[in-house]
Amino acid sequence: MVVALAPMSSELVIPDEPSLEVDLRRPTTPAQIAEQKARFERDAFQYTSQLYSAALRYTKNPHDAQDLVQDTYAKAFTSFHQYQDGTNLKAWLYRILSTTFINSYRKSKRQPQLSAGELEDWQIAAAASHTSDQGKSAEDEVLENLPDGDIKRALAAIPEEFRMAVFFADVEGYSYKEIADILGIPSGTVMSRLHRGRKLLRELLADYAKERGFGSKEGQKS
Amino acid sequence: MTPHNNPSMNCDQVLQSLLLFIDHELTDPTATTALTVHFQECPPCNEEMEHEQKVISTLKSLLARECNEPAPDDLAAKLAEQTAQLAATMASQSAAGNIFGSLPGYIPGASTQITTTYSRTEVTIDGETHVEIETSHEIRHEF
Repeated sequence: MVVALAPMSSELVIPDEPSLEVDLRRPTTPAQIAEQKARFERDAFQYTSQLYSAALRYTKNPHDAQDLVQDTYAKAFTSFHQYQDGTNLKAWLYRILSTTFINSYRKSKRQPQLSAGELEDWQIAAAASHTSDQGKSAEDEVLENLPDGDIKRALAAIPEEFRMAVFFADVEGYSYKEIADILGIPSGTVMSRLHRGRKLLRELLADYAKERGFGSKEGQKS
Repeated sequence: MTPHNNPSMNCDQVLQSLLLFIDHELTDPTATTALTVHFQECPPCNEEMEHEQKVISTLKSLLARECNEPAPDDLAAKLAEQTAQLAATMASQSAAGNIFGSLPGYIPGASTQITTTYSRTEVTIDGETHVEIETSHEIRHEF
């Protein structure tokens, strides 16, 4: 596939696949290639751990996560002439990672996709009425006594679309618009997935606490 | 809880916008002001907002603590090697001439690049007569 003179209007310009075919903006002389390599190593390599963490959220295992990060960096380097200086390089890398996962890894594993209706229920996911004081203090108690590993387990257990919205918003601190650019979805969908994701996460944490008998006398002993 | 009947905004509207407020994603400043006023006047909504804020902030710190696994030690070396290989591939492709090198008339290092393109068109008239039109264009680039 030839990716030549791709549009430069949007903030994140990502090709579908890495390509070594003719692109008039691609560096051609040894000096240009060496310069691109040096710039890539200096600017992009600093985000390896963050990308690995995102890859772990996607793949759920260290081996695939490492492969995904390597594929991401390969695509990013061969497309680095398309990256616009001064824009958010980490977000650009995250977008390549997400696209790579969706196009390659997820296809091969046939992971289930979201059913229709994910967009409509975000208001229901948000508080629909005032929570009782009892409900509030019960949740506070769960979160205050959360053992190590529970939050990671809960995040891994929720569907991918919700998981990644929560990861980019609540771990990376991106705005809805930035997440929309990374995932290639509308901001409204980001909002829907994020709110639903947080709700699912909270429900699971409460379930884990119940499983351990949290709140009951027996549970407090164990 | 008793719904609060603020004339400008009722509790249902406030609760639906609560997460946008907490995430600082309300784009309309008047909506932010209306919510802030409502929270001052409506203790149940204010409590709801404070609780949501606290829970989300706790979730964020827990997630940040547990979801920041460092990359494996050997990943940096693998990425450096991979990048070097890709750079070498790009260099060899350029040298082999995927771009200018493949064009006829290109002489590496020369100050003039001559690009010649040939085209041949065959035209059939009445199914009998064949006419061949052959053209060539020469483009000279002075460097």
